[in-house]
Amino acid sequence: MPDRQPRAFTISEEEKKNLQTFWEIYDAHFAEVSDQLREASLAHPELGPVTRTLPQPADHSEAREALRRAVFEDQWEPYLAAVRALGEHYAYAEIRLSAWFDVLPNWRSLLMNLIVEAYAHDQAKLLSALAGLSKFTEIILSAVSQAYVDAKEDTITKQRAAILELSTPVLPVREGLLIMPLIGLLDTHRAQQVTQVLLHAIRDHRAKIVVMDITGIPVVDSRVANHLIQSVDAARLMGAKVILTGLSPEVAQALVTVGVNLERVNTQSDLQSGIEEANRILRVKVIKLRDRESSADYEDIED
Amino acid sequence: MAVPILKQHDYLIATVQSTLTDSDMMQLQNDLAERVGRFRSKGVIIDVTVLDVMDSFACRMIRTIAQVIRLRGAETVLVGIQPDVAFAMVQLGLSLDNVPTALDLEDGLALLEQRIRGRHNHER
Repeated sequence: MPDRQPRAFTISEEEKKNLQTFWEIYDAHFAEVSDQLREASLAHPELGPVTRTLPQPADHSEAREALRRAVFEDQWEPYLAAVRALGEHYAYAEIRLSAWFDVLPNWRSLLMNLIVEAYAHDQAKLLSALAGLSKFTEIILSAVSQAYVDAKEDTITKQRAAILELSTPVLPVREGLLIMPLIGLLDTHRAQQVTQVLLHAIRDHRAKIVVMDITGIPVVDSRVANHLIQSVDAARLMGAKVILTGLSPEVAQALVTVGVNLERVNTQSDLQSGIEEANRILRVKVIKLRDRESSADYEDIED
Repeated sequence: MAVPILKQHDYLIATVQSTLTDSDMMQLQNDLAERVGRFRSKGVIIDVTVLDVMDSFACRMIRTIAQVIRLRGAETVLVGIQPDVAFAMVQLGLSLDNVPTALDLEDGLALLEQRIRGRHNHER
């Protein structure tokens, strides 16, 4: 997880008192409530399989103690950490957040019944305990949801990095020749990354020519064009030529219309022409063998 | 620290050893201009492999040196620009104009040879 600090929350004196009144009931029936919550989770189609993998505590004294300290000593952190871990667990198990809201009413109505039963004759305490229940639910839900969303966002961030990584492949074709097909949108961040990858590949493969194919880039405006020109210039500083291929008729016309100067860049219509141009510069000739020629002839040509 | 200049047949090889001060650059220009004539060299290679920064002054000096060498009748090739340096240079909009560049000393020598041969063929 990224080091997001959980948002600090404050509880007023009144809310604290309400929570304590509520806790009296919850504490007294803790095992019963917990068991029923677990049963409801087990019965739930999505939560069931995950709940089965969670260890069932032998007794509830640990959770109880953590909660007691939260309610009476304002030490919520240890308890909320456990709640957040559960939220993350759900996120990674690809359970929808709504599953939580499926089992929650169950748990809440059970507690509500217990509260009403206990304080039927004490209206002040009844109201206080119900307010406490409401506050408690709020705290727990906020912690679970936030942890859930954070975990999902974390996954998205990692995937975004992976996409960036995967979407700039550099393919060696022959000695001194690399092909770099670009796919997707080329924003400033991505363009810089492409340039970095290109430059390191030139050094690592000792490339003389890089054919950069932009067929897979849907939108090429003046900004993207300038990024590409920068890449070409940087490659030239390292002694390599870049051949740009795959400019569609629309892109070519648009670039000329907006006045982008691509004169310094060697452009070819498609990847094939790009490779042929590279062969010409590298002084390589590709010869087609006739059908009846044996492999022995082929070796001759290789020499 | 001054840049040592090695003579290798028809070529001079100046390998930059550490970050250059402005006066080191001026000295390099003087030394190369003088030695190209003294050794009747046909080409000069400036190797900047160790540099991790090329600022605007350095770029301007390289361009100037290349022009000076040209007037003295030889070709210049700059070799060894590292990926990060090249990246920073284009980001800063620095340019070497028409100074030829190559990946490393080996490629630089090959390029120099090719250019000098090309020049002679052209004159013929």
